Amino acid sequence: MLPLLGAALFTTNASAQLVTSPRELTGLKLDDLAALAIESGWSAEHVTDDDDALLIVEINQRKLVLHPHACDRNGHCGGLYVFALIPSQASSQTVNDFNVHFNPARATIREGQVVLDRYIIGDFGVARGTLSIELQVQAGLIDDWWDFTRDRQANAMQVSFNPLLPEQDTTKLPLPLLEELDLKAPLLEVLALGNGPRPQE
Amino acid sequence: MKRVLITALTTLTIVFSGHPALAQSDLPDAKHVIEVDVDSLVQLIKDAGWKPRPFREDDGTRGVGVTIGTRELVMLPTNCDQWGQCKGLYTYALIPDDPGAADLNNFNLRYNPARATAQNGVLVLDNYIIGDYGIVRGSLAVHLLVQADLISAWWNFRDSKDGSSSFSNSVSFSPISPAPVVPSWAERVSVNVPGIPDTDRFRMLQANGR
Repeated sequence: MLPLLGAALFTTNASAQLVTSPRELTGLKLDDLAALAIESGWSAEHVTDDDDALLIVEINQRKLVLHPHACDRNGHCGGLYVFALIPSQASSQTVNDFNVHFNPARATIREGQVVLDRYIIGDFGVARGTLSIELQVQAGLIDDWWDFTRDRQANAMQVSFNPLLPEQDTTKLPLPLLEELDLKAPLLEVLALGNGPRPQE
Repeated sequence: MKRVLITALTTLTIVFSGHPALAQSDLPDAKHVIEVDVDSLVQLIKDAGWKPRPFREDDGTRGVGVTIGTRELVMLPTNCDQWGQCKGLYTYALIPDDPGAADLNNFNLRYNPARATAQNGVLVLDNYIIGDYGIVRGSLAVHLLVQADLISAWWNFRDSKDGSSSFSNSVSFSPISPAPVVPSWAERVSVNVPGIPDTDRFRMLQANGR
């Protein structure tokens, strides 16, 4: 109980209010999201890949991709899919353990690669402050992933690994696996860039 | 209520199939931002036509069990101040199944909102909702419906060709047990989720079975 709640409390407390009128509702259109990101002090870049319009938000050098869902003709969207590609390989068991210990996390393995994602239900709106924190938490979970896997490796003395394995080719990140998004390799490479382990201090 | 259900099903359809659609709700104050506290949650549950079951554990933990259809969820406000105002809401359902990690990953891949984990022989379907600045009533109602529906989605997945056929540790129990008497196996269930009364835990496992 405590580890789980602790993780949840930590991630929430670790986030700061960065936007004005945090209790007001925000739309989930790309322009709304970009405005929220910029007000929060992050960079936001519109990207189009075939018919898919995305917003790449960079928070503390971590990249999140925002993709509004369930949008009507007027641009009102009922949901927001947020995901981060992490250039890491892991087993299903590692992912399950990570999800157990880091409550808001929804990490999955797609063709051997790690994806951290979250679907935010917003049929009736999302509070601006809450969405800002959601994004901060998601970006923070990328660091949590690397800390978790590093500690796990350090503690798993019996596990052998081959340090001579070739480095992962980020151009082979999961192409067909982000549901309906069919992102191309160059873009996937850009999306994963920055989400690797931070240099050790 | 019916329209809320339509909305939730629409949301599921959206997430699962990617076809956009929207629906309105007749849930009162659907766009109203509520505080995360037990009273507000109970009111929402009642307004949505579901059955709330507030509880308080010996350690002071307060939460609300909710019955949606035949499924049971728990809502647990977290990160609360001395006045009972909370900044987060943890929702979870216990499911009497014990899948392998690969199957959990496949389920999570297929059902986007799902966050299914296995903990000590029990499947936990949970979510943490950030509520530092409140939660929108209608969106929370949809979230709860989605979570309840994901329980059935799990069993469908389990029975489909996509689910592994190697499950062998499923817990069986009699669906005609007259009272929520806690069986010995349920007492041994130890998962990494906040405590609820043992009788509620058993009731949930019973309700969330196949």
